[in-house]
Order: sequence, then C-alpha cells, then structure tokens
Amino acid sequence: MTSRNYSEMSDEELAKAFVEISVSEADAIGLGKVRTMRKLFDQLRALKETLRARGPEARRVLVPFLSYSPPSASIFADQAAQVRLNAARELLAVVPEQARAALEDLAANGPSAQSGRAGMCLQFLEDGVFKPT
Amino acid sequence: MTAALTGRADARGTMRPRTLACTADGIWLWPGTPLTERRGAALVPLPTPHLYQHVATLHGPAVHAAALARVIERAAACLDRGRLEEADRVLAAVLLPPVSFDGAALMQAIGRRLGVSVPDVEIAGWPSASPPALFEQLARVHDRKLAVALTLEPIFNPDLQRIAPANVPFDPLVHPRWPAGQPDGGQFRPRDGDAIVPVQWQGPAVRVAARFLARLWRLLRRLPKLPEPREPEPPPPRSEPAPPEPPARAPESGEEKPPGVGHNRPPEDGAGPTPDEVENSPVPGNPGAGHDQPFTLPVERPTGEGEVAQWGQRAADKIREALKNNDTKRLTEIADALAHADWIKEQLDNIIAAQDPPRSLDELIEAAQEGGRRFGYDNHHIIEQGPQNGDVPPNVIDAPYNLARIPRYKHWQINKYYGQPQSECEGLTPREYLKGKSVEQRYQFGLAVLRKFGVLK
Repeated sequence: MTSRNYSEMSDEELAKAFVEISVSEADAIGLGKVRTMRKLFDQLRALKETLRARGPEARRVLVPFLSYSPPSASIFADQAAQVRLNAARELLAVVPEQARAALEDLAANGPSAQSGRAGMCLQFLEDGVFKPT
Repeated sequence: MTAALTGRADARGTMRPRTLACTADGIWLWPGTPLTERRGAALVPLPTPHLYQHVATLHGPAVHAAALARVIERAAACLDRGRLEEADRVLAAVLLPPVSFDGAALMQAIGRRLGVSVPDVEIAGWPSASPPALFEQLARVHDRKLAVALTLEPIFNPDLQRIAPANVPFDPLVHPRWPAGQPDGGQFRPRDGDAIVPVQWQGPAVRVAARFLARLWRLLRRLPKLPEPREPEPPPPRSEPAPPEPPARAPESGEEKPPGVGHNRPPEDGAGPTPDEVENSPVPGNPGAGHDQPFTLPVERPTGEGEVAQWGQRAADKIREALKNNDTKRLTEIADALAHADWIKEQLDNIIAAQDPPRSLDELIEAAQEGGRRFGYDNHHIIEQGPQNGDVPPNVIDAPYNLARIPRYKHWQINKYYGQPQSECEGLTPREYLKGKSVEQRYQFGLAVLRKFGVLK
C-alpha cells in the first residue's frame, strides 16, 4: 500500500489500512526489521495526514481501535496492542482522556514492546515535549 | 543389555566413551553443556529440572532425575576438594539409560557441525518420526559451545588421549585449543581469563524461573507414547498436535536479526518492504494468537532467526501475563507448548530472564561489572555506543555507570525502539532525536527508557 492511493480511500478503508499497517509494524518490531519499521512509519504518517486533511471528525474513525480486541484466534497480542498504541497516539488531541487511558493501560499491561513505547509516549507528554495536535 | 541399561559400571570405568565428564572447572554433558555453575569458590549443580532437561535430550525421558542430581552433587563436591579423579569415578558410575535414537541422531548432527568426535556410546530404543533435518536444526543451538566442545573432546573420547603424553590427564582449561575453521584450528591457544561461568539461575528471576521450570520439567518428564503392541509402525511422532501455521509473516531473505550483545548501534539504512510485502503482511488467522486461545508454537523450527526470537518474546510476554494474573492453567499451557517445540529451547534462558522484575540502577550496574556471561542477559550502554554518540567522550561511554546488565529480550526491545521513528519525537528515531542533546540529557533519556521498558525501578 502506498500513500498515493490513500486519498482515494473512504474513511473506513483508511481505518482498515491503519490496522494492517499497525499489525505489520508489530511484526517488524518483533522480527527486528528496522528498515521495515521506518517504511511502515512513513506509510502510517501518510495515512494519518490523509485523515487529518478530511477534518477533525474524520480521525474519530480510529476511536474504536483504542480498545482493539478482535477475535482472539485471529491476531497476536502484540499486533492488537500496536493497533491500540498507534490509535492512542493519533487520538490524544481528539479524545484525550480515552487515548491517555489506553496508553496507560498498555504501559501497565501491554506486551513488552508496546508497553515500553506507550510508557515513553506518556513520558514525552508529561515532559511537555510532545504536544498532540 | 549392557552396563548402561543394567546400571553396572563399565569395566573400562573412566576410560570408556561417555556423555558426562568433568574437569577441574566443572561437570559437562557432551559436547560441552555445563551442568554446574561456580558460585564463589564452590561448584554448584544446576537445578535438577535443568540437569534433567539437558541429559534427557541425549538419554531420553527415562533419566532418573533425582539420581542424576545426587551424582552431579557428589562429583561437584569432589571437585571442590580438588579431587578430580574421584569426581571422574563418581561420574563414571552414574546410572544413565543408553542414548536414545533421537539423542544419537542429535549427537551425530552436532558432531558433524562442530567437527568433534562423537563418543561411541550405547544406543537403544527406536527411531522417532522426526525428520533428519530437525536434528541439523537443533544442532545449531550448540554452535556457541564449539571451543569448549573441542577442548573436552579427548575427555569424552578417551581413545583420543593416546596422542597425549602418558598418564597426564588432559585439562582443556589448561590447554585450550583454537576451534576448527580458524587458521590455527585445533592448535593449542593461550588461556584466557574469560572462563565460562554458567550462572543461568542467579538473579531475581530465580523464583519465577523455578516455578515455571518446575511445570516445564513435569511436562518434559512425560513418557513418550509407545506403540500399540500389534501396531506395525512402532515409532511415535515426537510432537503431537497438528502443526499450526507458521507465524503471520515469513522472513525475507537477508532478514535483519534481532540486535545482539553489545551492539547498541543504529541500523544501516536501506530498502524497506515493497507494497506487496505490506499488503501480504499478517492477517487474521494465526494459530497461537490471542489472549484467550491456547498458546501454541509451530512444531517445526521457523525458518528465520528473527522468527525464533519473536516467538520467544511472545512466550515471555505470555508467561509474564500469566504470572501477573496468577493463572496457573495458562502457565501450564505455555510450558506445555514450550515442551513440545524443541527449537524454542535455545530461547529458554532469554524467556526466563525476561521475567526479571525491575531492579535498582546500582544492581544493574553492579551486575554488568561482575564480568563473565549470564545466559539470557546482555550488557547495555545507557548512552549508546555508535556514531550517533560520537561526540560523547569514550571514557563516558565505557564508564561503569553507563553499563547495565539487562535481560536480553529487553535489550533487543530497547535497541529496536531507539531505531524506530516515533510520533512523539516529531517523526525522528530516538537516536536522531537525541543528537545535539547534552550528555546528561542523553543519560537521563537512557534511564527513562530502562524504566519504561520495565528494567529499572
């Protein structure tokens, strides 16, 4: 998937792509594929920019992912946690309390990779370095 | 039926080929698996479940764990008193079943891989359905033992000692050799101070590991299914459940491996995934997934190193979750899955070390200063090594306060975090974000990362 066709996708299709990229990202982290992580980050950023360009309400399509927990046989815990983590980071300015609660839950109970990342995100917020928009 | 089966010591005593041997520095299982650890001046046997796990790999599940532990303990006590020959006699009298067919196949594979002689020991039982390729894969686990295996070779194969001066016991730690494959392969090399210190069972993970391995041990001790009396095909398959699908994503060729010891370096830039890769990336349908489904592992070893480590980290996460919830059923299920996947055993040290609770900075620093190896742990530079910190004086990078011994999986997680762009770093990787920051800021950031990844209190 490339950034080029994101603009042609509906919000729901973007949401589906958001999950796919996040799941791939979890695998790239697990497998130590650093270059892939960078590529996926760029793809996710392009997707998020596409959503943002559609107005403040468009991002709400990601809100259900704050508690993403699909049928358990279909996904690994780290993959689901990465979806939650990415959604929470993107929604801090939209639904701050819910997003922060998701980050805190991941930091406390998430798989190690996502737990550490959620904890660091909260640290950046507390330090005032990260100002969600 | 021979001595090994009946329990009578072989008439050749310590001069017969065997799978257990000792040196002044410890007790070993062929080809070079330590069965003792040094604590101060004393040699201490590994915990019984671990002794059983190692020895049963070659001799099959009928190994009597308690008897084995008693013999190892007696031999270790002899070594503590400097009585090497007496320890050797104690070991020579140990009652072990013959090497199993699978054990023999594994020994042959290891022997070929390391280039060491396989002791001519008795073999009994019947072959399993395990494919030969499986033993070749399992033999890789022993690669790191090459130097030790070469030096212990004449002890496990006494016939090889005939080339040594008569009546002089060969001590591989006094006369180490360069490993095969090097220009001086097989030649004696100088002694070094980096003696092997197998101390898997030290540290705060002991309690958790003991509980976990106690369960794993019971599962490993289950006797394999024997053939029905009239069944024409006797060998039962080693692993029973239907093999789950491989993990969601197959590794690419030239796959990056998880970062290893002491690297803390940024990855090279290069090509990323194709659009197809992303399109074909993990999709629903993965067995072993999810939190309320049984935890399963592939029966066959996954094809990429990164995948093995990924499964190990998933197992570690599941164990931590189960321990946190005091979910003994879940823990047993995980142990069962681990017991049925031989290929994951190389990750057990990492999995257990990952259960360590957060420690104080002093503890982490002191552990790094102890020297020697700790299986499952790495030394981590709080301000990373590498060109990204090229402006930091080397005496700061190498200072004791900058070096912490942490569980290997946590080390890998942290290194991957440093190399991944993060939204909160304005899309930069933490390595890029830290450029230009003061040494103090970089150090504090490193401590924060250790805290958030559950390493530092």
